[in-house]
Amino acid sequence: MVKEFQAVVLAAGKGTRMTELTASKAKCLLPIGNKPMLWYPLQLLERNGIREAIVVVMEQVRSEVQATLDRSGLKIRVEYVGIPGAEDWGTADTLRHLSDRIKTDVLIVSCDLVTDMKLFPVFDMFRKHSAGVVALFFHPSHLESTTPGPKSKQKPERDLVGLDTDTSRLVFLASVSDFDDVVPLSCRLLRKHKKVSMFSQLTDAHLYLLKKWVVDYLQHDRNLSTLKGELIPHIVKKQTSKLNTARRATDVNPGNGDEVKKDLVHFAQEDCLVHKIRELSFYNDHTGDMEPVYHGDIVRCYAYVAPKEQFGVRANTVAAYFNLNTK
Amino acid sequence: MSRKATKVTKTSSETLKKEDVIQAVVIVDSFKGEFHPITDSIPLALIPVVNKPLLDYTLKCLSLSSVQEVFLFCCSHADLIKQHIKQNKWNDESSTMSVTVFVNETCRSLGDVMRDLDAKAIIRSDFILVSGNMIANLNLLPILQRHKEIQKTDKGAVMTMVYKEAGVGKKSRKLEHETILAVDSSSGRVLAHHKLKPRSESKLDIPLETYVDRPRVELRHNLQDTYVSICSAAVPPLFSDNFDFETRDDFVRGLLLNEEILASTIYWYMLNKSYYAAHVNNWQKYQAVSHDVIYRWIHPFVPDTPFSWEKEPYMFLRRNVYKQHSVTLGKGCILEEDTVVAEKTNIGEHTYISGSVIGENCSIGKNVIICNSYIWDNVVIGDGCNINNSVIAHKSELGENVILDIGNELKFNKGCIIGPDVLLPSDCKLEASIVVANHQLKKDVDRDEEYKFKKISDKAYILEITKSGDKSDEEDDGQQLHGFWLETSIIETDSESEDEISEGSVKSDRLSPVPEDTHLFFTEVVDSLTRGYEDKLHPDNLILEINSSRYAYNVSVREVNYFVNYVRNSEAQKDCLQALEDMATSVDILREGLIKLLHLLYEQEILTEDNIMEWYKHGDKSEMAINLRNQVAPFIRWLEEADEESDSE
Repeated sequence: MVKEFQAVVLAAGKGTRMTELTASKAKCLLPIGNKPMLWYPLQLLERNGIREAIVVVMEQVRSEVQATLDRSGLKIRVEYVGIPGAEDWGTADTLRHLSDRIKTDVLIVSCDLVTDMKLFPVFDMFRKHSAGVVALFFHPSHLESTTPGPKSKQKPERDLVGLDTDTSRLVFLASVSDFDDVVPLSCRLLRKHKKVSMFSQLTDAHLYLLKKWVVDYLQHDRNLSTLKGELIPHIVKKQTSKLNTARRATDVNPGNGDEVKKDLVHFAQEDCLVHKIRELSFYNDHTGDMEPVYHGDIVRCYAYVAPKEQFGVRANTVAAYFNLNTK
Repeated sequence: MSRKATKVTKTSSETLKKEDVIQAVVIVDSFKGEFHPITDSIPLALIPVVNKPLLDYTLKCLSLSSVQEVFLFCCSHADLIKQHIKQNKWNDESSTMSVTVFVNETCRSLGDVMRDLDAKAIIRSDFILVSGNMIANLNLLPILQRHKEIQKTDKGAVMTMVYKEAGVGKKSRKLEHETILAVDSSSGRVLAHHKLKPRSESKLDIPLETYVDRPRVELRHNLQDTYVSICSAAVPPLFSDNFDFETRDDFVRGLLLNEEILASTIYWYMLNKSYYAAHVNNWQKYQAVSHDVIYRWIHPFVPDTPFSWEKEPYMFLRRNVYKQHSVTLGKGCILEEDTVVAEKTNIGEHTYISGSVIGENCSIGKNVIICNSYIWDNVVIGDGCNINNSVIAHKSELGENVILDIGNELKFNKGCIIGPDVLLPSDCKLEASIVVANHQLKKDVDRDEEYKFKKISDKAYILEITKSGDKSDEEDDGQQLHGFWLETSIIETDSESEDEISEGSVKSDRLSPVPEDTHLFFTEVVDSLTRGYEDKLHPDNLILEINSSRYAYNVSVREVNYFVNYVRNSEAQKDCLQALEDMATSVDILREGLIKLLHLLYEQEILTEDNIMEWYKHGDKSEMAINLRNQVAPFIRWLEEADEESDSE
């Protein structure tokens, strides 16, 4: 049976937003309820039918993590990969390190995601639109209680997420702290996606379903070091670039000396047959203009916003961690 | 029995409380003069669309929405309007609404009208604000209801604007400015309102606060403004307080910018897809709306439902042809499709009419071809004429064999607009987009335009407008007195420069993986250099500026080697040469000048011969570099000779 995608759990984080707690223990092993934090995403994967996963941990704690998880009774087969804790590797760097193990599309989960959601809507969106990236977002849950310890001076990091209302395409992703006063929006984006909903209070679940070409692209562009901070916004921005169209056979001119300057769009090229099929089909994902399906884009990012009642929290700040434990 | 009677009268008097009367204000002028010079003799509101004056459509729509009091504001030709209202019995006892006409010759904009309205103090509560050239079939009552509900929750709600959803391809929307509206999804409050100039402006800035406190903000680009608004009684005083509000858009923008001061908010209402609302404010719109009427989009305002029972009804024939009974058609005459012919018109033999509207009492000769034209009442057209994409206003006469706008079929078929009372002689050929007026019109000082008149004959002058000085990009192509554009080109949604910006930034990101600070530094230095070049500043000042920027951005000296003044050692020179080479491969002009540039640098002893020779010898093997080397070869040869000379000395 051909595997559709591989799951990667990023558990090598240092817990920079909760240093008081992670000083003694690795972040992924902090207990929530009576299970270590890492148990929750693995259980989520298991519940959704995924049989094996690659867990990335820091080299020093690898044996400890292995021991803890063996005890916790999960049936999912785990392959542990260690990364050196001394260097400051970002999430994208880690993914690049794993790229030789990754043979198919990849589902990336962070170790601090706690949710009981069924992931099949996310998978379906990925399969239906052959999306390059699908991200998952939750509505803010109402966990209100005072956090112990000194009052954190940090305001919760919030993201500005822009979605095309009708097609759920992710057209804008940035952090609120990137902007001082005004948020510049490209008019091109607005002309293309007529109805854009901007959300400012969604939680990014840091669960991404990526196609294999994204990993290949990461190999090529070594500057990107975090997924959420750099890679995903970069891909989202690329959607509105002019190059985001299918390449025809006549366009290819290899002798341009352009080997080094390959763009993201080159990696995302799909099969000619797929394009033919799309051209001949009547399906169009949007209405209101005469553009072809997906506006002819080959780089497509989608976002799935979980329904309001769905519970999903990331335990990456002290406040969130504490709230989770009390619930 | 008498008790019952008194009870009945009591309830009826209660229901007739003053505040419940629905009032509407109709602004009859558009103040922009697109229909000039026809509007010199006919007011805008009486221009017929499919043989009915625009004002009738507006008033009918209002009466269907149970409006009870209508105030018409006219600024020109008020007597014609008054006459029209009397004629059509709008103000009769039998009509359900009362129409009052106010005249004010000095009003020059919507703002002036509102200020006048405020002075008159006739508005008691919420009123409906429309313009006299509106054609719509929407029901205003639910919108009014919603406005009142919003007012209960938000005391500062001042206006509800009505928008219609229209995709980019829709004809009547292409002709307007593109508007982007940012609204709060839950409350329907308008947060930002921007008009885009077509094909320009790469970025739109929206303040961060609009997003932060609201869970969901929708940015809409697919809307068409219907210019129908429900205003509260606070609107005219707001206009009086702010003298610079001239148009409704000024008002909206002013309110959004000064929210705290004015404490007023604006909401929006999206019109149900089954309703139609349009605003005829230029010729292209006229054409689009006529087309929509003929195609029955604006039911019940279709040509075959009469507004008054005194007029003859139209027959609705196949292929969208409407004809009244008393029309006489000659032998062999063809009414092809999408045609409306009004009463008492004679059409000669073998005439071909397609896609046109012909008014009443016209007399059309034999062998005439009329396509996509609008002919108003009492027009005489001679035999053998060929009329395309034109408007011929009342009482005009065309001689025989007149050809209007042959033009090429492909692109803009700009038509001719022939004013009222014009006599075109026989065998006259008119090219596209010429407006013919009856007589020499006086220069209208207000409009900032100059007219030149070319006489064709008595009673026919071609109007040419020369652009005035300060016409900025505000003036769209459509604002000028052009005729019809049957096929507008698809608006290119991306401009050249925008692509270059986005691609350029991508390229620079890839080429130089310099940290952000250095990047900023570069841009700043480039800015100060270009400024310095333009202002011809002393280079020392520039050096100071660059130095301070350098410290500000913590940039190493190495990075700055790209600039001539800083090139001191041989390492630096190599960097400089490399940079020149890189630049030369991308910028053509520099390539030619490279040789001169090298010469100059050598003369000024900034680059030594050794370094230049080394660079020349150890260059890249790529094609570009080889080309470059060839171009620089003469200079190198000169250098070698000079070397030998100095050695030999």
